[in-house]
Amino acid sequence: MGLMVGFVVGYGVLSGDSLGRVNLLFLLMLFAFVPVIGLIMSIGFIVSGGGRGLAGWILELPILPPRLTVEILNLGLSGSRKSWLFYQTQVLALSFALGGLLVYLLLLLGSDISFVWRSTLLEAADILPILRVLAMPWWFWPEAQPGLDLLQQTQDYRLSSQTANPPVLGQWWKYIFAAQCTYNLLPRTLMLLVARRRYERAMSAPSIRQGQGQPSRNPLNRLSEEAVLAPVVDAIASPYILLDWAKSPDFCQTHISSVIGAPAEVRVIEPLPLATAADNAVTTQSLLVLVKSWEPPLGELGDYLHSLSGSQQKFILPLDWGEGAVKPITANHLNEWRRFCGSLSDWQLLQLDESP
Amino acid sequence: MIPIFAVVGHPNKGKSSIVATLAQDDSVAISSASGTTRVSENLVVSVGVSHYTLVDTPGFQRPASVLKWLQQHAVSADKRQDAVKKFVNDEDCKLKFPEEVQLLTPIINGAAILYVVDGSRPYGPEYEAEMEILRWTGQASMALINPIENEDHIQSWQQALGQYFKLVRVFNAMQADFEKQLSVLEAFSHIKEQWHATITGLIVEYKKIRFQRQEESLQLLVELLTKLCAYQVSQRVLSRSQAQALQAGLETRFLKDMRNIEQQCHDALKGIYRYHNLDSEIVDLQLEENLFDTEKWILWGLNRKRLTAAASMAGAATGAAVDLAVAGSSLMLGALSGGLIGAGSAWFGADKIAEFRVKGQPLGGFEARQGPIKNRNFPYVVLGRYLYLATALRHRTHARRDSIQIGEGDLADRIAALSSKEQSDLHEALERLRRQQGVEELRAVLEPVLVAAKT
Repeated sequence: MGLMVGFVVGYGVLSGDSLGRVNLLFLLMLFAFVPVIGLIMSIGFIVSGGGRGLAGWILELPILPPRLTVEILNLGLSGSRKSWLFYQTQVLALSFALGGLLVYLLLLLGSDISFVWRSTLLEAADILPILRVLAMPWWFWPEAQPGLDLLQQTQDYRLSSQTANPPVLGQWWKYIFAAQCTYNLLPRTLMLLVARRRYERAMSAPSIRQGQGQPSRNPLNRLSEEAVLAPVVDAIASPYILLDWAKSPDFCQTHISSVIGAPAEVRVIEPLPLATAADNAVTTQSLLVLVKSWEPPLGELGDYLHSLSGSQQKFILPLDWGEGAVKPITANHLNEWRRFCGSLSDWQLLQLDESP
Repeated sequence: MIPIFAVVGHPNKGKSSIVATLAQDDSVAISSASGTTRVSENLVVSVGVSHYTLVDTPGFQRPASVLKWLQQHAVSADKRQDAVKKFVNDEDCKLKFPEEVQLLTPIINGAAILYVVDGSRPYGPEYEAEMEILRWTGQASMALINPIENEDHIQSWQQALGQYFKLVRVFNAMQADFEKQLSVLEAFSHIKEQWHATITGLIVEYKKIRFQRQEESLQLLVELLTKLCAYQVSQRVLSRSQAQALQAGLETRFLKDMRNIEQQCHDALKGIYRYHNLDSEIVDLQLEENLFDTEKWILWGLNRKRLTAAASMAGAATGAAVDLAVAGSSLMLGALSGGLIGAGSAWFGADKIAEFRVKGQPLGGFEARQGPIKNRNFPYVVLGRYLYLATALRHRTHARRDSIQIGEGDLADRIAALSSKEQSDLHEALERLRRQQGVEELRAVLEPVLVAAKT
């Protein structure tokens, strides 16, 4: 679109009047002044971070198919929409410059453009310094530099039928070409590169479409879910010996006695030493090992239970307590102990049935 | 020097939870069953350009027996560390005490100790053997009291742990916020001098990452809102009846796509916060029913109105070029007449254009379309749900394994907490989105409400 508009506008301006005369100052305005103003605005937008450029205004016009408008919105640009619009504006501006340059070159090849200038107030000597300043960037190209003679020879008056030597009128083409390249094409190319970089940087942020983060690793230490849960019993054959692994407070033993009867004997058990054969031979009474329900069964407890190798009935009683009273055991803890008991061959899990 | 921390303690007291929280990694295995961790597992935590390693270890199983073994192999205090080294390298010990060998090996190799206990249960003397073993290693150490169920016994634990560890901190693996997590690292930088610089660097990187996450989640929100508010599905056919026949199919596709877009965005947000295994549940988007439309189109999908506007502008531009050529002496009549001619031709010739065929294909037809959503509340619903998830992720730790029930949250309160200009900008931006108009400053407009949601 920019190329087409640049071409049409360029053609409109360069086709000149019926004699092919083109106002040089008018051309400079189109190919140098307007682009420079546009450039300053673009730089201003970059510095201030504001503005959406020409492309933003064009997208607001009701001339695009709705589907295209939605597709533009769906490009995932929203976070970087401004930078995208700015980028598109630079594309548009560069295309416009290329369109203008293209039509200029085509007309130079296929037509006779007569560059003249007109002014009521200004003389050639007044304009020359301005043209020289404009020509400074291409100081290395002497043929494209303005001269007072050329200026005087190309001043035009519409009522006058006298004009300069026609080939002289075409000599401005190099100056205009250099102005187009310097003030339009080159800066717009640079701006396009800058805009593209800004846009790409803005688009580097993650989006819905991109995979986020790292994939899950394959961790070690996954527990097998196939543990055997031991059944829970609520009765114990009396008399029994209470082996207190938990070093429980007195109210716990009182509570146990109230539910299943008093033990024949209470022993406070330490992890070491393990039970010996002599210990095992002492009694045939049932054994009840009291443990803290919230403490997971350690290997040490397992070792101790294995060392109790007598043939009597053996029970584990996990008990929970706090604030001076026995509390119901939680399901998690019960399952933990059921798993543990399920791994032992001759131990049963006891829970106190407190119902009357 | 890369800091390395061995997280040790009794079984089932939240060691793996603490590893998951500190590493911000929800793939660490956590189970309510004890003995889940059977071998020590090194987890290299990358924080920007810095790294540190957490070692998830098995719990102590036979601390009394191990301590007895060590006491038999160290006759004086200066030999204790050597005794522990000997223990971890002893083949017989590896068979008899595999868990202790696993957990002590990284410590003997230089790892600092993070000793974890449960502050919701009373202190017991059975812990003393393992604390004594850790003291024998001679490594820098810190105790973390993890109040799994409540904080009833923190004080007694502090008193007991203070006798074995220089630093004792309360650290709830399920609730520890970002600052709390950093404070654990920071504390270590004071007790292990050679790690000070690295840990300081890690903390800086963590803070950068927090900011980066906010930026990334903002970008996602912008994208989600824009995409959902503009989303539509359409299909072009030759006749209106054909277009109407597509209604059911388009409705189904539209609904499915909308849900997928939101789901993908929520998954991406979880990814930003490094939740890769987190399930979330969300009520399906309630979409208004009558979103189906059929419309005649001519040339490139333009309807008659847009075609007229485009033709009018093209005509005016052409006329203006003529005006330019005559240096404005036409009094801009070229632009005016060009615009009128373009508009008139398009308006009255639209039907004729639609009937033209190029290579057998008509230049016009009918379009069946579902969406976009027109309801004014829709962007607010999407925003509310996103903010709910963002807030939940921010206040969650990677030790938690429950799913998130995403609701609409308290969006009204959050908006009310913004300044009047921020509110006005937000309402205007959401309204523009609803109308499928781009909002250049959408990031800036949404940032206050996202930040407010995170505080």
